Formats: sequence, C-alpha cells, structure tokens
Amino acid sequence: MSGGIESGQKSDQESGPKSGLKGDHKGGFRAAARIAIEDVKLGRSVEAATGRFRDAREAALAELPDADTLRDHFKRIRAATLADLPAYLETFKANATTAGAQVHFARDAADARELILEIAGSHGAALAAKSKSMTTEEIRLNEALEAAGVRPVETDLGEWIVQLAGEAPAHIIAPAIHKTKEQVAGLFVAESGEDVPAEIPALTALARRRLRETFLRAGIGISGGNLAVAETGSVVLVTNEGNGRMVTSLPPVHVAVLGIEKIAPTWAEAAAWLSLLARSATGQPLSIYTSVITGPKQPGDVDGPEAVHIVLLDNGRSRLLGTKYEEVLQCIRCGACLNVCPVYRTAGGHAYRGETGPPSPYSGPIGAVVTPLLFGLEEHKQLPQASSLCGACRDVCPARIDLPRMLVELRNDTVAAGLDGTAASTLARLAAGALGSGRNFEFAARLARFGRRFAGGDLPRPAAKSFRETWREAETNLPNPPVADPGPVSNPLPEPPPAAPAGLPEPWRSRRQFAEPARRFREALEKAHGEVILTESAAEALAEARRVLREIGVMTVVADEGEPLDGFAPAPDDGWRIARPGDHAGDPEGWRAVCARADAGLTSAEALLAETGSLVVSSGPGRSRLVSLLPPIHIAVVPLDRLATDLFTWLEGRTGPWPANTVLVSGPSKTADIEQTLSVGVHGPARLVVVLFP
Amino acid sequence: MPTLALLPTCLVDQVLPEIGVATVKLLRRAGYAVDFPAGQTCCGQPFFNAGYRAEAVRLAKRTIVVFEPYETVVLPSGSCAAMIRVEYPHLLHDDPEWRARAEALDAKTFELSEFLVRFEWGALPRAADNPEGPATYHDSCHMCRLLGLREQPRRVLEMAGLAVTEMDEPDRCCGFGGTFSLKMPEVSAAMAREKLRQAAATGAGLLVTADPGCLVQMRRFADEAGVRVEHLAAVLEERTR
Repeated sequence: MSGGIESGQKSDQESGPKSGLKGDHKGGFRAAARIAIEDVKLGRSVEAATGRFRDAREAALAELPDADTLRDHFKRIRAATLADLPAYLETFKANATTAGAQVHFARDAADARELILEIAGSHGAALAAKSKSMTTEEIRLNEALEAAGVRPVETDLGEWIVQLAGEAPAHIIAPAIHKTKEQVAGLFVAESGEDVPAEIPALTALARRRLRETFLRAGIGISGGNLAVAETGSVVLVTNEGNGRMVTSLPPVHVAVLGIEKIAPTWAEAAAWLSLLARSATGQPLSIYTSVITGPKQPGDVDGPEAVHIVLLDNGRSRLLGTKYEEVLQCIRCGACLNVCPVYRTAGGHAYRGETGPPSPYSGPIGAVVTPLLFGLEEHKQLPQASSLCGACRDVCPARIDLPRMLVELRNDTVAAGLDGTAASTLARLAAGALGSGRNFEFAARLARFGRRFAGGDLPRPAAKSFRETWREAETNLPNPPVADPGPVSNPLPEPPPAAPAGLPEPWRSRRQFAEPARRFREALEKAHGEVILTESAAEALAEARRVLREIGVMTVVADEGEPLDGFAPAPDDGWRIARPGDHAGDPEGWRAVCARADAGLTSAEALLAETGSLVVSSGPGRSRLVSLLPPIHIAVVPLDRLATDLFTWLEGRTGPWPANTVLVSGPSKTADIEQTLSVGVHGPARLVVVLFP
Repeated sequence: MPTLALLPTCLVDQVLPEIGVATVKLLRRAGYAVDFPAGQTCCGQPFFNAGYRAEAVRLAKRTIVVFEPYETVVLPSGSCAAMIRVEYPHLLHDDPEWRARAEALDAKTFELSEFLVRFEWGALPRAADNPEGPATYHDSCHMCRLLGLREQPRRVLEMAGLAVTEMDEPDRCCGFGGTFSLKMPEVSAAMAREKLRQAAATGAGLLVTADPGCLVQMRRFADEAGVRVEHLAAVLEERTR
C-alpha cells in the first residue's frame, strides 16, 4: 500500500487537509451550526434549495396513483432484504462474477482504499475520473488516491465545485447547495485560467469542456452505485448530467463502490426502488440517466471498460444487523429527510460533524443517526442531539425509516455511556426524583420559584403562583356545572398495520393505465425538456430525423447499426456524413475520436416507457455507448410497438441476459447544481429528439 | 358521575398557570365537571426525549396510576398527549400488565381541541356570524404527526369566530424540542425566528398553538416579529365568555 494512509479506520474521521468550517473544526455540531446561522447568504440558498426539492418531491409522489402503498411495499422489501443480507450478497457476487465483473468485500475504509489503489496501480492509472459517490467520501478515497500519485477529478458539477473549493459536500444529492454562481466562477477561473463570467450557462459549458478531457484521458473511472441487483449481478447508477455514464464507459477500468446494504434481490425490488429514488430525491419520475452495468465490455461490444470491479463496503454496517438500529440500513440516500428537516435547513450540511474532524458525508436526520453509528458515538455525541424530534423526516422517507425513534435510542446510549455530561445527568436524575414523588415535587417547585430571580434570561421562569396552588385556593369558588356526560369514552389511535409476513413481498403490480400511452410518453419527456415527433411510418420518421439534422446544420453524424437505422444516409445535398461502429471495427480509439467530434448521434431504443418518458438503450454488437452520450444532440428513431407502460411492466416482459450496459434515458443531460438553476447539456447531449413511428 | 380529569402539564402548572385556569373555565362552561388529580407531576416526556429512559418509565407509571380512577383525561398539550398515547405503550411494551394499563390510559385521553370537536363543543356558545381575526395556527410536531390532529384545532378556532389564515409551513417545527432548545440554543432560536417570520408574513397578528412548549418558545421571539402568541385554551376561553 502506498504512503500516507497507513492508519486504520479511525483516522478517517480525524484528519484531512480541509480547513475552516469546510474542513476540520473543533466544537462539533453546535459550534459549526452557529457559524452557518450567521452566514445569512448561505442560509437563504439552503432554505430555497431544500424548499424546491421538498415541493418537487411532494408533487412527484402525488402524481403516482398509490405512492403510500408503494412506500409500505418498499419498506417490506428493505426489511426482508436486510433480514437475509449475507445470502443476497453471495448471490450478487456469483452473478456479477459470471457476468465478468470482479467483486470485492471491503471490511473497512482502509481495506477499501487499499483495494482500489491496487486496482488503479495494476492498470497504471494516473488520472481517475470520479462520479459523485458519498461512499467514496466516507472512505476518504480522494486523499488516498492523491497520496498514491493518482489524481482524482470529481465530474459531477456540484462535486467538482466542492472539490475545487477544498470542501466537503453539503447535501447528499446537491453537494454545492451552499455556493453562489459568483463563488463558482471564482473557482473556475482559478482552475482553468480562463476568464469566465458568473453566468450559469457559461459555467456549465466550461465544466463540460474541462471535464470532457478528463473523461477521455482517465486511466480509471470510479463511481458509487445506487443499488446492486443480486439476480443479475448488475450495478445501477443514476445521474442527471451523464457523468456517471462517462465514468463507467470511457476509461479502460471501472470501479464501483457501494455499501453492502444497497442490495435489491431481484429486478422486481429494484423497480420499486427506482420508482421511489428519484421522486423522493429531486421530484423526477426517474433521473435523466439510469445506467445498468452488468460486467465489463462483452465480446462483440463496440466499447466499454475492459474490467469492472465492484467494491462492497462494510465499514460498520454489518455490526448494525440484528440490532435496534438495523432499520437505518434501509436508507437509499435520496436526501428527502434533509429537505424537510428544520434543523438541517437552519444549520446546513457542514454542521454534521464530529468534535474535531471534518464534516460527515452524511448530513441531516439520516446523517445524525448513521454518522455516530458508523464512525463512533463519542466523537459524534452531539449529532443525536441535533434534532428537535419533529418527525418531518419520518413522514417523507421512501422506506418510512423511524429516524426520531433511533435518535432517541442514540440518546439513551449517550446517557448509558456517560456521555451526556455530569451536570446534565445529575440534574436529570434529581428532577426525575422530585417529579417521581408528589411531596418532593411541591418542595422542589417552591425552591425553583424562590430561585426564579436568579434564572438565566432564556429559561422559562416559574410563575409566582403555580396552577396547583390556584386550584387549591379557588377550586371551591369555581363550581362545577350541572354535569354534561361525555358518555362512554374511547379514543383509540389507529391500529398499526399487522406485522408483515417474513420474506419478500409479492412483486409490485403496476396499476398505471394510460388511455393514450404515446401521448403520456410525449408529455413526460417534454416535461424533462426532451422533444418528441410522432410520425406515420418508418420512412417518415427517418425523413424527420434527416430534417432535424439539416436544420441543425451538422457535419458529422454517428449512428448505431440495426433496424430501423440501417440504410439511413444523407441525401446528396444534405451536407453531412455518417459514421457507424462497423466502419471502425478493431479501432476503438478511432471510433471514440469520431464520436467525440460528431455533431449528432443517432440510435434506436429497445423499449420506451410511457410513464417516465424514457428510452431504453443497450450496448451490443453494432451499438455503441458513445453515440447517445458524446455528441451534443441525440436523436432516437423508435417504433411505437416498443412502448411499455412503465418500469414495472417493461421489466416483467423483459427476457434474456442483461447486456454490459443498459441505460434508461429520460431527457437531455441536465444539472441544477449551481443555484438550483436548470442548465442542459452539462456532460451528455443538450438535446434529445425522439422520433416515433407505428 | 363522569368527571374530566385535567392534566394541565407540568409546564402549565409551574410556568403558565393561566392556561390551566382557562382550560378549567372552558370545560366547565361547556358543561363538564373538572377535577385536578393532585398527585400528578410530569408525563416524563423531557426525560424520554433526552435519553433518560428509566426516569421516563418511572414517571409514566406514576402518571398512569394517578389517572387510573378517572374515565376521561383532557390535556391542553398535543405533545404530552402524544407522549401518553403513543410513547407510553412503547415504553412499557415488554411488561404486559403495565402495557395494558398504558393502553387503557391512551384510550381515554384527549387533547383539548380533539375533545371539544369529538363532543361537539359541549354547551359552548357558537360564535356570531361575523368572524373576528384572522389568526394563524402553528401545528405542534407531535400533535399533528403522531396524533394526526390538524383539523381539530382549526375547527374550534373557527367555531370561536376566528378565521384561520395559513403560514407557508404551518407544521414546521418552532425549535422547542424540549431539551433541544437547551442543548442547541442557537439553532433552536433560528428555527423560532423562521416560524415567527412565517407567522408575521400571513398578516394575522395572532399566532395560536395548542402546545405550552411551543408557546414558551415562540413568545421569546414574538415582540421582535410583532406577533401575539397565545394558547388555544386562552383564546377559546376569551371568546366563549
């Protein structure tokens, strides 16, 4: 193992090069929150951003016919999966290995770093392209890579911004939630040496240009993974910008790092997971790109990594199985609890930290629970106190995790471990003693009233005369009226649902029905800023595609092979030329260069999902991952008989093994990482045109 | 003879006795006999929330015993009602005898507005046709999320002739959270200021809550926001004279 990271897991939370509120800081949550509260600008951006996420989530779930039932169902899935986690992990490993991936179990952070450095070293990688991963933040991977001479570059726009600033992410899904566009422009000028105005389109364009070089030159791509599907050995990664697709498609080796709890036994469970993930996170029905990675490049594939490694990280998770905290492992890191938490919205993400170390990658209510559980209660003893127990988090959690209950449990553990402080615990026990007996209580209360003149400014002061004294004196003067009889009284709360039977629930049956599925497809895709053209025949569809290309004024078009695109070619006066993967057989570098320079990419799709306006595009012979990814415009020509209702119905009808790469495309590449302002084409295509024919 | 047992809460008893007096007057005016079981002290919620489980269990048992002779219990506090109704059965879950006694208390316990709506306002006079107001209502966290009481307090306010105008986030926590306000005073204060800002933005000069804890918290910042903060019981008592 290379220098600089000899120490074990403990060091992870102890040191880092980051400074100020962003980096190491003494005083823990309270001190850091105080600084955040004084920063009025920061407060306003966090408040506004989380408010938008919250509203978007609510609208997205309201649009589902049965969101609450689906959440109940998902809760059962997560509970049943964790109950049998070791078996599902073994199944995953076996199936991923069959698909050609290499699966590694990492006991702790040091173990994971060592594994990843070994992989990077064996491929001679000097540059690592990373897509956003809280798990790699958890293991402090970037510092380890740097120390080993591998330069890590974050490619998610928000994550790149915080990397350039030398900060930690401030939100699970929106790392740069706290940055203004002026601050971002300052960072970009320093990084690129270019003069860039503080305007979001210009900033996004600069990021696209600079990071495109990273994708093309990187010797290793490192991603997280939103979930892993045991039955097929697939890793699923969702992104909006397209950087996740780049990182997993362009470098010769791809490493995915996931917590061991992120397992879906089969695609039935994965579909429920994906149906809730983006809706809960950003309010999108699906993220723009949902990539399914099943092993490395297969024989006959045009492109893709030669090697895929999957690192499954324990780092304290398995210790929670079978305990009162197991439920926290049901979390899918959507961030919904952060957006409704009045404490997070006040204190910001960087306040969630230990007494001495840098911020935890996990903030908000989930961070307040999971950080002390994974990284130590003593160092993070303030975090369970960083909640008013209001319960808003529990109401929005897609897995209905009872975070307030676990915060109370952690407080019980804090008291039991003697970490609540002598003064607090003595006072609590004295008070409980006084309250436990009526006579002591009256005495203590009288004492308190005597001492009220000394009470601190903010504490509520005892009244001059208590209610019970008033009652004793005045009760006879306040006669009870002739009695109204409330009658037999019973006020039971609704019964909790009966305990679910053990094992996975029956697969979810979609209750979606669209009178006009094509119209729904169009509306959904247009909502995500995609374009849809309905035509009457295949010939007309191809003519429309040609018209779009002419209008844009393209020079070079790259296109997949296969129906309905075979034979598609420019007319003599069209002025553009077309290249296909077959033209560059045996020359992947040449093909990649052609795609990188192309003005438009033309594909079909193996399926369409009406509900979410998604195209399903897979790698395979004659079908390149890069056609729909590198050019600024993606045009898809697809017959309508491939239109399925939604993710559930498509997966039910799907047969055969999974290709190395399948991606659900639900719009043009987009980001809202700078001031939550939409900007298209950050890494993937800025335009998506879907031409449909019967 | 059915008599309502009043559980004014320890905070009302020691700090805000006028709310207890208002609750008694209101319930008697509605036609009910009210008793104050003198053995009561505290429901144990502050201990429960702070991680002092053994102390919370001790106070839960004491409260169960004190209120066992009564048929109906009424509280002018949503969060103490939630403590009794939701948390007692959990706390005592592993002891079948105490659990049954906790469930019996749960089944006869009412938050004040819940009681008034359930028994159709008793004999209280309905407000005149011209509503006064408006007021804005703060949903206390445990009352709305654990007991599901959102509609009831608004209904009784309207019955008392107050139009309710809503804040952006009526159920956003005011930052009290019991010991939270002592352990994290800066965050707690900032949360209260946001609450008062939203209340002031409605244009209603009156902010009503059904929880004494929230009342204490919000009153600390009421002057700077130019909003009057009152307990539901006091408002109802004043308007049904």
